[in-house]
Amino acid sequence: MLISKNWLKKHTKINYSDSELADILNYTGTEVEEISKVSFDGIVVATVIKIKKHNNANKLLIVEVSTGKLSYNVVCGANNFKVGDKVPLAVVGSSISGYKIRKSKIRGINSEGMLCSEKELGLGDDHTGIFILSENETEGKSLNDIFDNDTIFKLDVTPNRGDCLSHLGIAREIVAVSGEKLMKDPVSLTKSSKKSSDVITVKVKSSDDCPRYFARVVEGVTIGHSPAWLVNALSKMGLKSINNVVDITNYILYDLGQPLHAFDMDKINKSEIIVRRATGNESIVCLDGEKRDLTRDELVIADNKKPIAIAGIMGGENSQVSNETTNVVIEGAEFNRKIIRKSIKNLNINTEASYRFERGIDSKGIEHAINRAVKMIRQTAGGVILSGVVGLSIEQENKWLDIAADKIRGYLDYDINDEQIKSILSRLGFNITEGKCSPPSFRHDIETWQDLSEEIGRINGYDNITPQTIKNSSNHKRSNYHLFENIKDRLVELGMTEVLNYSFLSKEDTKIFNIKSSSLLEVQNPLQPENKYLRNTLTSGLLKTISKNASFDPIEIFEIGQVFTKKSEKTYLAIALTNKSPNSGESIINLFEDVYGFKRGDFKISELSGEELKPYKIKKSSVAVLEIDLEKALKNRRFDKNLLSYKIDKSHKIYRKISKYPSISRDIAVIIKKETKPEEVKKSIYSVSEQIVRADLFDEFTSDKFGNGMKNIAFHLSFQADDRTMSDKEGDKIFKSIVTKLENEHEAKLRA
Amino acid sequence: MIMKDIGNLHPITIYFREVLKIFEDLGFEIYLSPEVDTEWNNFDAVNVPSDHPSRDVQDTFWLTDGRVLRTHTSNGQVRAGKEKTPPIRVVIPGRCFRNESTDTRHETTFYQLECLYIDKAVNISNLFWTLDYFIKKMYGDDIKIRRRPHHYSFVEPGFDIDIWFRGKWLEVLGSGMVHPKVLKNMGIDSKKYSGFAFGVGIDRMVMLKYGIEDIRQFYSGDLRFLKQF
Repeated sequence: MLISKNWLKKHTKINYSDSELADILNYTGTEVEEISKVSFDGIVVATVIKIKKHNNANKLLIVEVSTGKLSYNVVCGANNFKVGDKVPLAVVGSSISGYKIRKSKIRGINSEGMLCSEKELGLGDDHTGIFILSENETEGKSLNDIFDNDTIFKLDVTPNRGDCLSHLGIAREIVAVSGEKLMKDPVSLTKSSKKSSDVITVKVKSSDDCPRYFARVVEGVTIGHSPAWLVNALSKMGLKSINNVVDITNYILYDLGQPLHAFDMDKINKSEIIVRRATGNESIVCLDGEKRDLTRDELVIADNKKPIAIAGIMGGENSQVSNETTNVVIEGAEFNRKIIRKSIKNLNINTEASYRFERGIDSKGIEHAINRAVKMIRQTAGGVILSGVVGLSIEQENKWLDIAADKIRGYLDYDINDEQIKSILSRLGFNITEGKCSPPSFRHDIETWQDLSEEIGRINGYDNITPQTIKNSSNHKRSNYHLFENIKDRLVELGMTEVLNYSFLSKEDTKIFNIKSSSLLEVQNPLQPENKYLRNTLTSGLLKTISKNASFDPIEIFEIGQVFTKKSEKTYLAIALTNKSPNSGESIINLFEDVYGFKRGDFKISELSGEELKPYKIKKSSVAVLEIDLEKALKNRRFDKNLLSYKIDKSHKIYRKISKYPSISRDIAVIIKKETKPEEVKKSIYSVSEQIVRADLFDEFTSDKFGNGMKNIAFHLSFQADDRTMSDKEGDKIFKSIVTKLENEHEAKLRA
Repeated sequence: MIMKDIGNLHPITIYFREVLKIFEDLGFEIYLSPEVDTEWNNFDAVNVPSDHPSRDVQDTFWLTDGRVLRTHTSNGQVRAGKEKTPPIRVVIPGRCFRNESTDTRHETTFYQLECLYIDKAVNISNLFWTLDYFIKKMYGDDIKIRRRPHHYSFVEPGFDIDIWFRGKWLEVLGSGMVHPKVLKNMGIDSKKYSGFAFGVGIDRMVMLKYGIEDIRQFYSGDLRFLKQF
């Protein structure tokens, strides 16, 4: 949600800098995601004097503008203005959307500034043309004097805090910290002898569905454009202006958090408003132009013939305020949150209104919101406000809970006296009497003393809490996890690489791997076809991995992961080896027999020949795959402690981005001292260039023919650039640098 | 003779071990919970009722049999709580799922670590101590830590924990005091016992550790990637 700092100031005094304000919000539980400045330094009102075509570009215009004292030539791409229009000119040296305006030549013509669109100024979304200012503006005036310098905070309000979805709501949070007062704004309305109840009736079928409903009538309004301040305020919220009545209802939503709706009274048949469930065979065309079929789950606002709005979600086209409207009904209500939630799901729409109704509004603030709205409508659209509201309201009993100060102190583990606790609660709007408190009508999330301790903690601050150690215990219980990790270490020692594949299978996969899909657990709502079923084997994933890594040979990979059938979830291990692997299915089974005592029969072994690998798009002459149900194999077995441990690898590894461009392969063989470890050589190789993406050891051989105490060591190398295809020449250069490096660091000699 | 390097553990495995070791040394037990679970264990038990918008925070894979792919390792909380008697100290590592479109920062598959501690008179200062201890073990004693109150329905109060990392605050985990309703669902008397819980998103931490730019790399099976660890 967006919050304007200037707007907040209408509710309370704020003497905080932007970052102080952000800290207060962050530390009291409202996360600030973004802070953006709205300022117009160096942007002034200019009059269009002359418009010429650009000779070298038929889409560009050369515009002469004047700020009174000076005139400027500006090259411009838009053409929505005429001579005499007032436009915003960003002069050389100013900044627009982070872009500095410089004197420049555009297709041979000097441009001395820039004319700005609404979007470029941060005043709205329109970027189709230059923002035309009011003709009454004075030339040379800074836009800072027309539009407020402001700061916009983008907040992440959690679902329990519907009360924070407005400027008033955020102001309440700030007041609890600052101790300042909220500005009270009682609405006094000029009395009219005609009552709202003289012209409309309201019937609510179920107070369970709709505990509160109020409507008030304004007669004789003139629909038109909204004043600039209102357009500006809404545009800061990312909203377009519609007209001077609808804009006010939207303004109140962002101001007070109460969604309101304006109906054209003359479009309500017999002026009868009925709040009821939809019949099940009704539909409504909403304000967004879409027709929606309604089920009995939906609550509607109807006249005596048809639905005129979906309650709490969106109004209907048939009753909307248009340019011809003269009499309006302003509705403010509270609807059952569960019904709103269900309709949001059923109809797949979420509006600013439904978002707030679903999270809970201030039950006691509805009438105030309506009265504020009608007063403002009278100011922007004229008309007569009829007396009183029509409607119904179920009295709500206050919820009282014990303050439980001792428990709160114990939970927070700091000294805070009863008076301080009460003072915080009362600043948060709680009613307090004799050790009990009652949450304000806008808070729906307070039920227990633990909730109260959160309120105390977040306002009083958590940094006062001194961390206290927990009781240490010597729990050395070993679980399957330890054994699984031990197995991984074993396999890695043998040269294998661990993969983690997705838990899903697509329909396509089941065909290729010949898996009976009826035996699989199925996802009801996959967004992607790949996520249709849950895997019942790890083998398919490993074969896919081999197929994806055509340039690697040998490939030795394994995975330990969950597999599923309709009735069970199990942990499997699978291993896949291509034909060139030094390990074989046989050697691995022997290892598991020797070390872990698994039985040969526990393994499912498949040897796939070149021909059998074709459907998987694998071009290797054979692949061996082993798969085993680990839990079954481990059952009723006791393991030595050293098999229930895993290694911690704290070595520093440098990650190199994977490039999408082709790589260059080279092999390098050097004669080097026998005691030099391959890892050290590898490290030296990698340090030569970031473009060395692979250095795989493939040969290490000691022989006297290399000289006393010397050996031959060889690596496969790959070089790759992350932004282009690397040339052979570049590859040669890197290769040479590697040779030099190994000569210098390891006294190595390139083997001829 | 053909020689080979030793193989490679997955970077997520490497990171998990480092973290789990820290908790094992503190006396926590590693507890495994299933990836497919009931709606109740995944949501209701941890105080995320179906008619509440907090359920929308996670996009869920629903199975045709009515169960779900767990959206967090918190499904293990109530399982562990029911199975054990206090004091309970468990860490739950595991794979979780989110039904959303993927890009460089979003994945259907990700890993979490859940930590649960329940005993008599456990309070917020114990939670803070444990968090500080863990984060300092991982990132050094000089690391700056920020605690922001945040709402998670399974805790009350709840916190997000940020660390100052490469010049900005970075959210590393969500935490809080176990909600009394969750304790009740474990069959634990909240008048006698209290506890804390937190969850760490592992993938992002591993990305930061190595500077990995695309979360999908973890599950790509690309050996050019996997052989770097």
